This record gives sequence, C-alpha cells and structure tokens, in this order.
Amino acid sequence: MPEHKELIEACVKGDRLAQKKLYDTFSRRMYVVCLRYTKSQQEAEDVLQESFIKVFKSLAGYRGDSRFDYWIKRIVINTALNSQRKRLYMYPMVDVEDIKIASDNEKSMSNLHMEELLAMIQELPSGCQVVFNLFAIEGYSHKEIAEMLEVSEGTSKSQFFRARKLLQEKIAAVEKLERYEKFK
Amino acid sequence: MKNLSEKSDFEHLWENAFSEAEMAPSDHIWDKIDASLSKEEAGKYRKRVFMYKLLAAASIAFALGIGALSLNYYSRNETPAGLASKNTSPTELPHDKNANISSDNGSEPNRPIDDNESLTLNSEKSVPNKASTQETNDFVEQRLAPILNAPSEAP
Repeated sequence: MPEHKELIEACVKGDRLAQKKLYDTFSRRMYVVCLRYTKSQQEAEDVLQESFIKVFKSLAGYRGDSRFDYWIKRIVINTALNSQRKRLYMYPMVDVEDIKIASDNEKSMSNLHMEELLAMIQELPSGCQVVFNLFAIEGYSHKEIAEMLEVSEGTSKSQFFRARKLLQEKIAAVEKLERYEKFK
Repeated sequence: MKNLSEKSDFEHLWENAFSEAEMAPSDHIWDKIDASLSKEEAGKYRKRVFMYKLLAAASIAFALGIGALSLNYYSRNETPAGLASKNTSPTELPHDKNANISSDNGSEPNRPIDDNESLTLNSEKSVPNKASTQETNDFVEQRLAPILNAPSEAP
C-alpha cells in the first residue's frame, strides 16, 4: 500500500480526523464524477455521501493492488449506477453501422468550460449519459459496460453513439450561438 | 470507417476535460457522513454491550444451575453421608468429602434405580427432609468446625 498508507490505516481504526482528511482529499474530484452520472446537484450529493460511507466501511479491504483514487472512483461509479438503475431504460439497439461519425467540432469543444460540458452530459437521456461516461471518460470497453449494466454489447454501442450525436449537436449549437453573439 | 470500439479524438477531448476536474460539494455532506459513521459506531458499541450482558446473564444462569445442583446434592445425598461420617474423626473429613463427591459423580445417574425416593414428588419428600435437619446441623458442625478453626491452628 504505497500512497496514503498512514491515512488509510488511521481511517480503518476509526480516527475521525483522518476520515475527514481523506474526504477532503478526494471529495472534490469524486463530486464531479457523481455529477457526471446524475441529473442534479442534489442527486450527486446523495451519491457522494453514500459513496464515502461505503468507502469507510470497506476501507479495511483495500489491499493496494489498484491505485487508491481508482478504488474510490469505482465505489462512486457503482453507487451512482445503482442510484440510476431504475431510470436506466435502454433503447432498443439500432444498427451501429448506420451512424455516421460527424466530427469537426473538436476545436470548439476545447473552448468550453468543464461546467458547460458537465451540463451537456447531465442533459443526456440516462442510458446515453451512463454509457458515454463509462466508455468515453472512464475508458471501459463496450463488453465491460454490457456486463456492468446487464445489457447487450450492441445496446451499449448504440447508446454511446446516440450520446455522441446529441453531444455534437449541443456543441454545434453553442458554437452557432457564439458566432451569432460575435456578429451582433 | 473507423473501428467503432475504439475511442476517437472526440472522446479523448472529453476524457481530458474531466481528468483533473474538481468541484466543491456542499459543506453539510461531511456532517451527514460524520453522523452516519457515529451512528454506525454506536450500533457496534450497543451490540458489544448486548453481547457482554448476554454473557453475564449466561454466567449467572450457569452459576445458579451449579448452585441448585449442589444444593440438591447436599439435601438428598450428603445428609446420609453426614450420618455415616458421624463416627469418623474431623481430620478424616476432607478426604471423606472428596470421596463422596467422586462417588456421587459416578453414581448419580443410577440413583433412581438404587433409591425410589428420587421418583417421589418434593412434597412427599418433605418428611425425610424435616427429619434430616438435625443431621444437617451435625454435618455443619462437623464439617465447618475444622475449616473455621484451621487458620488459628496454622503456624
């Protein structure tokens, strides 16, 4: 257990100051993860709270075989998925080959603030939102996502491409708006 | 067409946008976590206290059980032994007592066969019990006297 070893040990013993320190170290980053998987600040905070309680409960089982922040993030993602499960209606699979990869709004994307991108993700339908997060940002494969969500790999792919299409449209709309603002 | 299972630049841009992203949650979130952890600890503590109470109760029940058994043993068994030991000298008594206990341990399950008294109800037994009060007093005198005197006799 290389990083945060002493902090983790103190937390396992129930040292509340150490637990607060661990929370302060990771809560800000994990809060963004929660926001990405939920629809509102309230929901995200509920997930964050539940996640950290789980983290402290299962901390004694952390063996240091994965990076500690990944370990925490995994708990946060699982908690978020459970909270979304009722809402996770997956649209029937569409033929992935039919979806064109429209691109070229990559440049304008880098001008956007993280908060704006976050809002776009939150506006996606729940299935698209979760799959896009897992594939694009967390880096899971469609096979892994299919197992996590108990759907087919094709469904995961089609949800992802739908998410991408919606996001590209949103970015294009913002770009258009900005151009309009400049012109005015 | 690109391989659809691989991430494109678009996805990498999103990944990078969030890789170091931080936002502060409301302050009260920690308070809630703190309260939940305290509740959890209190629950564990209560559980432990309950276990100790249970253990204490079991110990008391066990002690009472042993007490009742030995009372039963003295009221039914030891009195005739006391009678028998009337003629023995006080110095022999501790040895005699050990002998009684060991013989009791061995023969107790067989007693109802040897002695019909065990099969009768307590009320019917009350007469022999009353009759044995005198003998019990003798027994107490004979048994306890050496024990009580022992410290003064010791050098």
